[in-house]
This record gives sequence, C-alpha cells and structure tokens, in this order.
Amino acid sequence: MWVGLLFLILMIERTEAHPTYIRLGYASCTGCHMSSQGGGLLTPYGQGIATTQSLISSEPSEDEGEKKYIQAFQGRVLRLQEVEETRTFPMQMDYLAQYKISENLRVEGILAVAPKPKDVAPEDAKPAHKRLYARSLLLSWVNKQQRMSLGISSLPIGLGLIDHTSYVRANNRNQVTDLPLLIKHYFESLKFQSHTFLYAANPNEEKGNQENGVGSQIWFKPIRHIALGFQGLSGNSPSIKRDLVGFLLKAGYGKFSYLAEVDRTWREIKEDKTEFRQWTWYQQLSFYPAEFLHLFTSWQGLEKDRAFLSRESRIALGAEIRLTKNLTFSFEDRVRKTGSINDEIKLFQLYLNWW
Amino acid sequence: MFLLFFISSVFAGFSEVSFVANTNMPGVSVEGKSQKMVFAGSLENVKGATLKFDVFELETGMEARDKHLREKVFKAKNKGDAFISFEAKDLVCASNKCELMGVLTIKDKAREIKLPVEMSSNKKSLAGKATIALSQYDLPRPSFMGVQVEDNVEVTFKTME
Repeated sequence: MWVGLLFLILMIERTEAHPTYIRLGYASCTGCHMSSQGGGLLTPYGQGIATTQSLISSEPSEDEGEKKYIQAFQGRVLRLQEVEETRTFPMQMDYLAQYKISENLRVEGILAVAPKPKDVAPEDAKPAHKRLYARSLLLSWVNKQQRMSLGISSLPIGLGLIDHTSYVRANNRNQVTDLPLLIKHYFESLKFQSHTFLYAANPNEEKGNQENGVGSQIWFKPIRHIALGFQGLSGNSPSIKRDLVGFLLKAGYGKFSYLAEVDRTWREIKEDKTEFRQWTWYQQLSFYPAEFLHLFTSWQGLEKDRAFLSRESRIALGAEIRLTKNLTFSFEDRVRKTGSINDEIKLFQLYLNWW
Repeated sequence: MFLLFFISSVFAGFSEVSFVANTNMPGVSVEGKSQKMVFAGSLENVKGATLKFDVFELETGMEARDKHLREKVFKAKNKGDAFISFEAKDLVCASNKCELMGVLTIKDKAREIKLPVEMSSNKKSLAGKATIALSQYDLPRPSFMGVQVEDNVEVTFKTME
C-alpha cells in the first residue's frame, strides 16, 4: 500500500492557476493551461514549467506527437485547525479530460466528487459515487487568438485565486458552486485579453439560485509586468437581481508579485424590493525566494450594508512549497476579524495531481 | 531561450541590459537581463569602446530556462564557452538623441549594427533599444514543449557612470 501511495504522490502534479506568474512574463493563463480561465488541465508547456519548478525537479521530455485525448486527476487533502476543532478531509477529487475532435474543436470536462458535508452523520453520508457531479463540460472552438465555448462552467471573472472561501469568490458567487450553462468568447493578444459571456441557470441549481445573466472581464497590459483588469456582471434570479463591477490588478517582477481585486455589488431582493450593497476586496503580496517556494501574505475584506450589515476582514500569512512536480504542500495561518471578535484558522493542504 | 544585451558601462555606476522575446503563444514572452558586462572605454568618447559578457550571466528568472538558453541557443556548456560583445565605432548625436554604430558579436558571428540611443547632457548615462534577429546571428529560435520564441528579440539597455 505504501509503495502505491508513494507512486501516486510521485506521479501526481499540481495544476492550479498561478496569477503571480506575471512576474515571469506570463500575462495570461493560456500558455500553461488548457482553459482560458486558468487551472485544470495543463498544456504541454505548462507541464514542462511545472516539472522544472520543483524542489526535486527534472528535465521534461519533449513529446513531438500530439495527443487527441488528455486527462488528469486532481486531489487535495485539507487539515483545518480551528480553536474548537481540527478536521482532516479530502477537499477535492476531480477527473479532468479533454478530447480534440479536430484542429479547432475540442470537448473538455471535469467530473468532481463533492466533499462530504461537515455536519452529516457518517451513516447518513452519501458514498463518493453518489456525490459525483460535472463541474465543467464545454465544447470549444479554438484558434490562436480566440475561443468560443458552450456548455457548463464557472463564470470567467475574478483573479483566479485557489481559495474558494476568499470573499471575492465566496461572496460574489465566483467559481464556487455556481455552474451555469454559458456561452463565452475569449480573445487574447499581447496586451489585451477578454472574456465575454452570457449565462443561464443550470437546471441542477436550487430554484431560488437559478440565475441568468451577462458579463465581461477585460485585462489590459499597459506595460510589462502590470496587468489591469475590469469586470462587470448583471444577473437575475427568481429571488435576487444583482449587478457587479470590479477592478483587478496583477503586478510582479523578479521574485515579487502583487495581486488585488475590488468588487462592488448591488443586490435587490425581489420579494420586498430591499436593496443592499456589498464591497469585497482582496490583496496579496508574494515573494519567491526560490523557484519552488512561495511565501505570501494576504489581506481581504467584506462589507455589506443595511439589512445584512456585516464587516469582516481576514489577514493571512502562508507558505507553499512545490516538493516535486507531483506534490505541493501549503500552510496558511489566517486571522479573521468580525467586529471585535478575532478567530484564527490554520490550514495545511496537500495538492496532488496526475496525468 | 533568448538573448541579448549589450551596451553598458563602466568603471562604476549602474548598468542593465534586458531582453524580451515574444513567442508563438500570445500570453507568453520570455524576459531576461544581465548586469555583469565588462566595459572598456568611456561614455565621453565611446569610439573604440568595447563591451563583453559571458552568456552564463544572462538570467531569465527560471534556472531551467537559463540552462536552455546557454545550452540550446549558445551551445555553451561551461563559463567561457560563449560571449557576446559590442565594439563601438561611432556615435552621432543631435541634441540628446544619438545613433550608435558598432559591431555586435554573438559567439563567432559579427555584424555591424546601428541603434538609436539617448545620451544625457552630462554624458554620464546612455540608454537605448534595439531589435536583434536571431537568424542574423545563426542562432536557433529556441522552443520548449511547443512554445517557440520569435526571431526578433527586443533589447533595452541603460547605463550610468
């Protein structure tokens, strides 16, 4: 069993978005990732970069042959240490695949196992195969500068942060549980990238959450090492109407990078016409003392007014080490401030990936 | 994967040469720099001045990329195997805008080049940009896992005495 586990660890590779790589000249995600939104399956170039950027690195072999079918497995184990309790659980188990139908046409998907809900008794918990769901299923037409995709996927907004609990993701319904049916267009040039999308409610979504809408995210790179982003979204569900605008920034040079996102949301509860506004923001400063080691600090906040009055902020310090091309370990110490209450959370994460 | 450089100085002061090589992938470019050129001469009279550095002194921010640059582009396995040098022949100026002429040698291939530069009024600093074609120096366009560098490489330099 241990030999099997060791084999799995050595064969597995982390494939997540690295918006901080703007420090090395990577302005967009498509050099390393199959998806224009980043994360997920890696391109051969992305696999090569991942292979060389580890503590135990190696020289990737150049495979001249083009593969029609590519696949990967991603897993993540999380140990969450709070004042009241400590839990260790599988946070993520995904199977990712892409089939190239022709030179410009591909179909890609992610089959995921939803984590077990925290408060469900073991005897009531559903087995893994009953928690399977399609996190993404897209048919895409792709050429060098443009892509048009149709299917189920998360909305292409935000910085591409890994942490789904960050306020700019969780509180903006950004790539967490919202998986609408969408049609999206992606354009990319040396100084400009854009996603424009129309979306409709996924039938599997709860009735009250079934949202339809339209949105766009635009990145502009006025000078090297700085990318400015703007995003907007207008959504309409049976219970809530919302409009979001946001500003994003990616900057970096050498061993340092800085990420920032600020979003303003206006919501209206249709039943009683209650309106409320929300600010979410995030910033992160990163330092890479070595290619395989990422040290970071982040500071983020959430503010809602009126009926939902709340103000929270979170400060974190963390480190991430890519041990091998297959295995990444990260540690993060977060302090959340809600009013006058501070609570601390420690997160230990092990990322595994195989292709 | 890429290169280039040149001009800098000098007895003391700051100098930096950097390059940017775009690739066949829109979001991917390769950048690098060198701060270790040896200069013989003066900015007061650049004619005859020479600049030289070892390709082992080029850094792109990734060790593997640096290694590929040295081994695949310059075919240099050890320090001292390949140099890049520039010998200034003339500098023609109109106000602070000048044109620098000289011979750029990359490994064994030498070519005369002209490039626009800006000289400070006190002749203590010089800055400029140039586009160098790899093919003109018989250098391969490096590629890595399907991403290939374009032939033209933008080079920027600045130097202060």
